[in-house]
Amino acid sequence: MARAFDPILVEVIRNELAAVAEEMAIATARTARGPMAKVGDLTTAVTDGMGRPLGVGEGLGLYMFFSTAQGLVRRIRAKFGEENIHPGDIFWTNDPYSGGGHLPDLWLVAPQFCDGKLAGFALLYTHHVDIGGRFPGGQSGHCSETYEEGIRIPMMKLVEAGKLNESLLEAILANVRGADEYRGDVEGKLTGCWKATQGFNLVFEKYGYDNYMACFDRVNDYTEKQVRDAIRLMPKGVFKAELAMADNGFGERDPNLVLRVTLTVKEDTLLFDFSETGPQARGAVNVPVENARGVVFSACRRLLFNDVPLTGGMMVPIDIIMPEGSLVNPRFPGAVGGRTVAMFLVEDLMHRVLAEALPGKIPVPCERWDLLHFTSVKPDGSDSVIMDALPGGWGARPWSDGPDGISQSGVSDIPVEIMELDQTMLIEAMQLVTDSGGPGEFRGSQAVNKVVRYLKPGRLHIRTNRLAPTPGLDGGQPGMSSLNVLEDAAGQRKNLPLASYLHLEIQPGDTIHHRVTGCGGHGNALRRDPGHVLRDVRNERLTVGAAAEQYGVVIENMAVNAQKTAALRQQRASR
Amino acid sequence: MRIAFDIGGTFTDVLALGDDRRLATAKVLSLIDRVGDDIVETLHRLSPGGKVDRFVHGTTICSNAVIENKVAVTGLLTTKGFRDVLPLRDQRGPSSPTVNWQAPDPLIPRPLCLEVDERIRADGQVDRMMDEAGARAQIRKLVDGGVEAIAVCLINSYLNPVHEKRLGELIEEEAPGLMYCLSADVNPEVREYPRTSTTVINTSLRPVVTRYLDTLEAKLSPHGSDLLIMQSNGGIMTSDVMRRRPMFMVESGPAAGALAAARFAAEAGLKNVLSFDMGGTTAKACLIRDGIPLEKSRVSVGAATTAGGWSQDLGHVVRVPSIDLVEVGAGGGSIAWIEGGVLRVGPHSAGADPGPVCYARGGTRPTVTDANVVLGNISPQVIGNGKLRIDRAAALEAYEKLGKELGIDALQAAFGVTQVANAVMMRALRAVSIERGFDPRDFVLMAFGGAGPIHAAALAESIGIDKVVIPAYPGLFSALGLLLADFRVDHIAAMAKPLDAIDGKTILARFVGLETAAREELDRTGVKSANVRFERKVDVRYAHQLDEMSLNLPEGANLPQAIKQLYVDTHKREFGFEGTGQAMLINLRLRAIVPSDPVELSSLQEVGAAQSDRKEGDTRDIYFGPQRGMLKAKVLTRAMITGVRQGPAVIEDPDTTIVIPPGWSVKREGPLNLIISKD
Repeated sequence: MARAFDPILVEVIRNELAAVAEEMAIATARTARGPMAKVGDLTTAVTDGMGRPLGVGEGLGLYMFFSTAQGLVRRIRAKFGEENIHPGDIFWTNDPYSGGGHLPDLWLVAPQFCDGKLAGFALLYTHHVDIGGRFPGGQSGHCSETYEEGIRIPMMKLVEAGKLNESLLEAILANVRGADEYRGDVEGKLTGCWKATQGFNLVFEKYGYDNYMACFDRVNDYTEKQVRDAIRLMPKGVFKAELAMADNGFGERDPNLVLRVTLTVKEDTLLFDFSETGPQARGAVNVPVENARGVVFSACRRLLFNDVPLTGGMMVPIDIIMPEGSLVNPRFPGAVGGRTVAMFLVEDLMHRVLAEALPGKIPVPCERWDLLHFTSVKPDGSDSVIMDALPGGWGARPWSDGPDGISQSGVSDIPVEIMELDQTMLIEAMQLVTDSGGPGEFRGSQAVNKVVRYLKPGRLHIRTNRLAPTPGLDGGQPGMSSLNVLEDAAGQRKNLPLASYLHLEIQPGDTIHHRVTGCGGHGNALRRDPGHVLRDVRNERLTVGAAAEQYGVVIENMAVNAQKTAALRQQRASR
Repeated sequence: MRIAFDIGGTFTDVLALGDDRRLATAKVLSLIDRVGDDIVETLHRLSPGGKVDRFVHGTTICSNAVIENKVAVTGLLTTKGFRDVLPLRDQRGPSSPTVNWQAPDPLIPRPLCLEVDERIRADGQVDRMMDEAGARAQIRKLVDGGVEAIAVCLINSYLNPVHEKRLGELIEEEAPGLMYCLSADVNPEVREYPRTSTTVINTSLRPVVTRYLDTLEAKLSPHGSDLLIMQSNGGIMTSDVMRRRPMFMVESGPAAGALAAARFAAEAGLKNVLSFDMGGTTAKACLIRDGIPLEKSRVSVGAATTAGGWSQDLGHVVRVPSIDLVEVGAGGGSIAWIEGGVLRVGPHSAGADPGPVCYARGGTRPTVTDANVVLGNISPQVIGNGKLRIDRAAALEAYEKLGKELGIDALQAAFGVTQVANAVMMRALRAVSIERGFDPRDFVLMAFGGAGPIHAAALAESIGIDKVVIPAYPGLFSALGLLLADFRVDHIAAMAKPLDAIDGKTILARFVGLETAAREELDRTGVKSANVRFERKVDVRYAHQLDEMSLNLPEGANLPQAIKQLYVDTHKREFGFEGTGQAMLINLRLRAIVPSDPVELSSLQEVGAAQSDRKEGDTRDIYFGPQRGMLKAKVLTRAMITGVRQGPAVIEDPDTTIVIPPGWSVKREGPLNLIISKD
């Protein structure tokens, strides 16, 4: 029965499609076996037949959602042609140059059919723990060509008319470390696709093609209108920001490696122009263009358009220029495995350029997560690959402190007691660091310190996003910086080099102390409510000394001395 | 006589069940400080001089104390290096972060989280002996800090509790009489954050619950003997057990409704039931198979909503067996609003104060209840036995205003609101069925709560269900559940080993050990264990998977092999593939259930049941959407249903309204239950 289109049915169908994306994510996370899928390094999306995204699932969500989903569908359609896409097909790719991210991120894409018509796509990726190549994990900065980074799967059919191409899967599995987990993750994603098709079919049966398509049109249209309306209220002008990369992936400084963006706020559109961004780096810290665009869109969504429905319509009024051959759009076969540090820096850059346009309204960026990736052998002789993501906390908001030690995404850590089950390591500590939050009227989150003692020999890969601490905004100061220390079995400690990517050969008894940076503060620390400073001191997040040093607040006997505080703050202000 | 009282956010429902199976009901305002007095007063009113042989109580006191951070001042002792385990949690943030998000405050502030130098390895061996002198100093520091209780949770203690047990002894020496809990006793399961959180919640609630129950029992004991408490798992237990293990009662309130639905389903011989409980601010769904509600092994207290996968972990985690309820923010009081030209409903609720516009108590924003009044689903004059006047004109005006913004008339807008609310509630029904691997079309929908029966048939239609059951007393269903519950205690033992590396004898011996402990506990508390029934469950997952699946222990000569086969089959049903790799046996779970005197729902008779002046032939106009239009619907009461009646019709109960859309019919089953089916 064809129904007249109405604004209510739109909301009903939108809810159901959002549920499909969510069910897909849950089924995948529950059945996948690689650690990253479990901690939430995954995204699901549902789109119409042309790739306009509508529902988004859990996990990392926004990064990959917007342009990547659309880009992948566009490439499938271009490569195969609609006539060669059939029910029961599932495509897969991990190719940075076919719309993917870095090689460990493997996408599965399942076309959906209504009355024989290609009507939608269900997409999902999870981050696999390995993809072959020189360095375990496939995300080192120490590569120049993507050939070194592991095996690249172009966009192709993994499942054709319901039949899994076992030979193809076997060829891939022969090239990766931890093949069993790799297969488990693929199976988990197939489950997600299976769930999604069930969900899509329910929607098709109930509402029919026309209502379903009307939903996409309408939701996209009004999202676009909402976004244009919001842009109209922004101050017009040209705004700039830049941030330098810490190194080129090999630990070498390169003054050309600077991320620069120019934002032009027009009548009802935004232009983010990265033309002045530095050239493609020698190491693997280049961001594949769909990832880079995804970061721009997700930052806009989070910082500017948080209230509009989550659809592809948001992308329409936002133009992005990312020249080929640059850090944010590398030329093939440039290596991209370590693109994560640069991707987080693009996000940081977005905060800063938007803070120029909207002073006092934009939060300080969060710290995403560093990485300790350890490849070793269990006591029973089998392989152990542990990819420990170490989330930091949130930057200060213009109205409140940044939450400490909790990631600003659906990504979690791996529980200590689960990580230790392989018996290759023992976690000695995981703590918030006192006095480490970026001072400001509102404080940034504290640094997180993790201490790992290794019980077995193995290869360790450390990713450190922030070699320099994150600056604050509006006069807020940076948090405590990251640090890597190696302590050998005899207790000798040495600081490891300041490099985004480190590779170490670990001996039993070696201990790594890794500190994830604290986040920046917002506003002048001398304006912070002394009561809030006292609260931090009472909660042992700040020492009495740091209260005076960082905030000019004098605390005696667990109370604020108002007179001395006023004097100290005045003295500081005039300094 | 048995008395059941269920404390909700606004009202406390009280039921008195006489030995003659006659049921008297009352509603009183929920005032926690005077619960005991109010119950005694109600008791006098309902049955003067009656002797009570059992009080059964459902309460939100524990979840409220946790959500509002009003637990006892408690200390935490952790392994050196881990004092921040509470604020760090699993470090997962909200999956769709709004820039405004605030982390929940840990239940224990950092100065009262102290470390002890010791370490157990993941193979259970001691890596570092405990520094006892240091531990004593930390205990004294906590005592000086004014703690009422101490929670102890050390890394890997679920595999070897030797250091926790020693810490318990040291606490007894340093602070004789101080309450303490060891995580190895409370929740011996892998993963340090949920174990710590569970232990902390149990410990910090003990003083709160003890004071509450002491006060309550002092009031009630002159009128009867036992006070029994509803647990999150749908079983009841004595108040003295709850004083020691209050973590089992954090979801005490919501569990009772699902339990009532389960008992009703069993009595009616319904195999597959989706229960749907819609109140003022939220709707809850639960899946019931063979008379048993699905369970989950953890709940998150204070999480905003429990539909969807990750967000639920943003409350305070408690790992206890609980009825698997999924809750969404849509209820009768949910407010309709417009976003981007499209209609949205909830999660904000007008609550009881000011309430919907039609209650004329100052509410101005249109709610789902107002939509039902405008459409004619709810009586345009009075509801609730004539106690509550309805101002339809005010509701209509609110919907005219809303409709104008959307470019549609008031009726379309009101109908739209019910449709959107249904779409939100569908999320809950989908979550307990599709997400758990069940096809909702194989189920009967059982609807209750004040607003459930209004929406039931429409919801059933949109999820493909063609049979709806409205039980007797839908508005008091949760309180009724209290009268029907069995006694229950749960015990758990950690295994954390590949199934291939365990032999069947070891598994059975561990279960026998758990059973002995459960039997002793029941006997100690005066629940006769002679009739006890044990249910054995195993938690299994593939190595490196995220979640365990809880299965009934199968039989078989080769037990580990039988468990593996059952797991593979279940995995295939739920996720579509068998999976490869090593199957791990993570936990053994034991439920010990002692049946309480059975009460047959169908035998109940309500005292002073409302007299309605409805007569055969009454009708009112109800709007059933653009396709079906405005139809004249019969207005009936339950008593008037004899034989099969065709929709469109509404049945007015004292505390709810049941809507029979066109194309559906209703009949009575047993003395009071209604079956609505699609023609």
